[in-house]
Amino acid sequence: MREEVSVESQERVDRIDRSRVTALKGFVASYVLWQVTVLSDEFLGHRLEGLPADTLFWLALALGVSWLAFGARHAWIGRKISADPALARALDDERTRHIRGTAYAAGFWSLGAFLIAVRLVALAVPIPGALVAQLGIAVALASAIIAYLVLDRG
Amino acid sequence: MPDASPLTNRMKVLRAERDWTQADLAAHVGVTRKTINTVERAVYVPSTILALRIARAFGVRVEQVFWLEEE
Repeated sequence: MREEVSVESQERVDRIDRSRVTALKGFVASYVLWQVTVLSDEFLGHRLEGLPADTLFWLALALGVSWLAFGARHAWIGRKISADPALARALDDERTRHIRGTAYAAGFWSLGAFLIAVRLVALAVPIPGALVAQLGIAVALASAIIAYLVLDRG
Repeated sequence: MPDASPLTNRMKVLRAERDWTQADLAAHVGVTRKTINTVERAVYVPSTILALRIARAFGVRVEQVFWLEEE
């Protein structure tokens, strides 16, 4: 028979759930900003006047480190959940698995829409392949996580 | 063609009768408070297993908690 979660444990479940959501928000926000900065540095860097040299590089580095920190925090929370069967049952319940699947689908279809849009734009303007690849990954990852966060609001 | 009748529930009433918060019910069922909230607001349709667990937490039959709204 499945064990129930005590009310005290439920408070812990809610607390860990909030931490998980906060880590995920930080992860996606820093990832998007990091990608914007990296791509600006790579493709527009020499055209941005008025910025001290390497500003975008250092900004991208700081955002990349921030992204890694949020990712590590999210992974650490995930390990903590996996280590406790009652927590794992509560925090990986059927609704969470359902919205995770829907979020993956949102990421997939966003990537598809992005590639179609790029294909159409490329008919008029040449677009570097490296830019398309990097933007495609960013669009898929960010839209999947944002979809998860939107669906997870309860 | 699947039945599109919305699934209605009286979880809020049953909680109120027991003076339970959503967190209390979530603790009895072993899910997150968000899951209870979305099921209660009919945003998320629970699986049969979850519906049975919710009914068991209240100590009633599942059809006393969930039913299909008459068309």
